[in-house]
Amino acid sequence: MSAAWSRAAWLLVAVGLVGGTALDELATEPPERRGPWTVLEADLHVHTRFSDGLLSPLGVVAQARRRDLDVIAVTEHNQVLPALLARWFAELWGGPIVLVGQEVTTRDWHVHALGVEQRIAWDQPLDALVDDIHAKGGLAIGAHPFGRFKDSLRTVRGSLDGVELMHPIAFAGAGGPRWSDMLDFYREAVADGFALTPVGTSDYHLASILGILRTLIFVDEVSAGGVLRALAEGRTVVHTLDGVPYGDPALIALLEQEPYPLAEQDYGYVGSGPADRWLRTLGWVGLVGLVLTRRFTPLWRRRGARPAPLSDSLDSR
Amino acid sequence: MTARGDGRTEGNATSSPRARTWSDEAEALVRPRAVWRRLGEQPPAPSGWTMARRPLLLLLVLAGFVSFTSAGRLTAVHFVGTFVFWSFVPLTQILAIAAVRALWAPRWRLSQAVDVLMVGQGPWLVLLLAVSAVCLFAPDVYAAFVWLVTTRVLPVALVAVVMWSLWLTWAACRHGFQLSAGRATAAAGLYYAVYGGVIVGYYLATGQLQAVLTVPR
Repeated sequence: MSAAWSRAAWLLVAVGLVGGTALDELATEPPERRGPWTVLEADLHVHTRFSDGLLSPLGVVAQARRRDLDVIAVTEHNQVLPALLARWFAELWGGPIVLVGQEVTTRDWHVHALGVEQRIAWDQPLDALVDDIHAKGGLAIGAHPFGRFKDSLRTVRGSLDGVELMHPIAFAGAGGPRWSDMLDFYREAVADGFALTPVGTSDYHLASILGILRTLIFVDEVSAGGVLRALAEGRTVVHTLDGVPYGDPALIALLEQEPYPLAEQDYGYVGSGPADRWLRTLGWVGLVGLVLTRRFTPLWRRRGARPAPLSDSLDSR
Repeated sequence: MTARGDGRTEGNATSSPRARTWSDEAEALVRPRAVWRRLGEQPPAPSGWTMARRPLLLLLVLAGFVSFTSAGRLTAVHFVGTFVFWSFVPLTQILAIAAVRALWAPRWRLSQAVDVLMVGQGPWLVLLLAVSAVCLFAPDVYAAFVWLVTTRVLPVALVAVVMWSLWLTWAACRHGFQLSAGRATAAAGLYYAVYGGVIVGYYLATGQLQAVLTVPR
C-alpha cells in the first residue's frame, strides 16, 4: 500500500511538471515605439544563486521572459561569472538582452558596473573604483543610495553615470530603510547640475517579483550596445509607485503624448486557468506525498537485491 | 542484524515493512530515536542508489520550491537550473558526512552513512513545502508574506527548523551511528563545521563576505 502511495506521488509530480512546463508562458511581447525610439523594459539589478539569490543564471533568464522583460542586468556581488553564464543562456535560448554586470559591494557603498566583461576589484577607494569601471568600458550606477550608502555615493555623484531611483524599499513601511533618501539623492543631484540617469530595479533575489519595478529605456538599436548607449546618454524614464515619471523631460513628454502601459506590480502567482491551477496543486500534493510516504525502490534497483548480513555490508570494503 | 535490501521499499526487511506507511524522514520528525535505532541496527544495503536517493529527494523538493516560488507552477527550466546550481548543498552535506564517518563511524560505508544521516532533512523539506503552499494557495501572496514576517511566524519557523535539524543530526549520530552522547555532539559539531565552513569559504573566496565587513581606503 505504501509503495502505491509513493507511485501515485511520483505520478502527480510528473503530471504537474509536464503540464506546468507546457502552460508556462515564456513568450515576450514585442517592444513598443515612441517617437524615434524603441522602448525596452529593463530590470538592472538581478542576483543569482552565486551570491544571495535563489535562481540559477538559467532561471533568471526564464523568469525575465515570464515577466515580459526585454533587458536584465545580472549584477552579482563582486563577481561577473554568473552574468556571463546568464548572457550565454539568453543567447542560446533567445531570451532577453542580458547586460553583464557586477554589484561592487563593500560595507558602505554598492556600485553597479554595467557592461563590463571582467571582474572589478572591490578593495579600492570609491573614486578609484568608479574610474576603474569606466576604464574597463562600463557604466557606474550608484545602488540604493539610502542611509550610509547615500553619504558615500554623494562624494562621487559627479562621476557616476546613473543612480537607482526606484527600489523595492519603496514598498517598505515606516521603520525600514527610507526610499525618500533615494528620491532626495536624485533630486539634489539634478538640482546641483549632475546628469545622473535614473534607473528602477527590483534588486531581485527570489520569488516572482523580477521586474516589479522597471526602467523604461529608449534605444536606437535593440542590442546590449544600444541599451548601454541609452543609459550613458540618459534616455530612461522611471515611474514611482504612484506613477510620477522621472528622467529625460523630452522622453516624459513623449509618454504624455502617447501613454505607455506600465507593467502591473504584482506577484504573478495567479494561475492562467483551471488546468493550470489543478496541475500546480497536483504537483505540490505529489511532492508532499514523496516526502511523507514510504518510497518504493525503482525497478532497476530491484534486480538482484537481497537482504545481506550487516557484517557483510560493513566488511566488504 | 541484517542490512536492508528488501528490494521493494525503503525501511528494513525485518520489521514488517508493509505495516509502515510513512517515510523515514516523516517518522524521524516525531520519533527520531526509534527511527535511528532501527536504521542503526539494520542500515540500508550499500549501493549507489542508497547514496543518491536522499540527496536527490532534497534536490527534487528544492526544485519544486524554486519553481513554485518563481513561476507559480512546476517547470522543467527551474528543475534543470536547481539540480545543477543547487547541487552544492547535498554535495557539501556528503562531504561533511564523510568527515564524520571517517572519525566516528569507520565501519559504515559512505553510502549507508549518507542515507542514515540525511533522514534528518525532514524539517527543511516541510518548511520548503509550506512556503510553496503560501505562494500557491494564499489569495494575496504579498499580504500573506507581510503577515508571516511581521507576526514573526516565518522567522520563528526558520529558527525552529534550524534547531530541529541540529537536534535530528545529533540524534542520527547518537542512535544511528550508536555513539555516546559526547561523541554524537562532537560528530554533529563536525558535520556543521564542515558544512558551514565550505559555504563560508566560498563567500570568502569570491570576495563577498569580507567585502561587506570592510571599507577600502
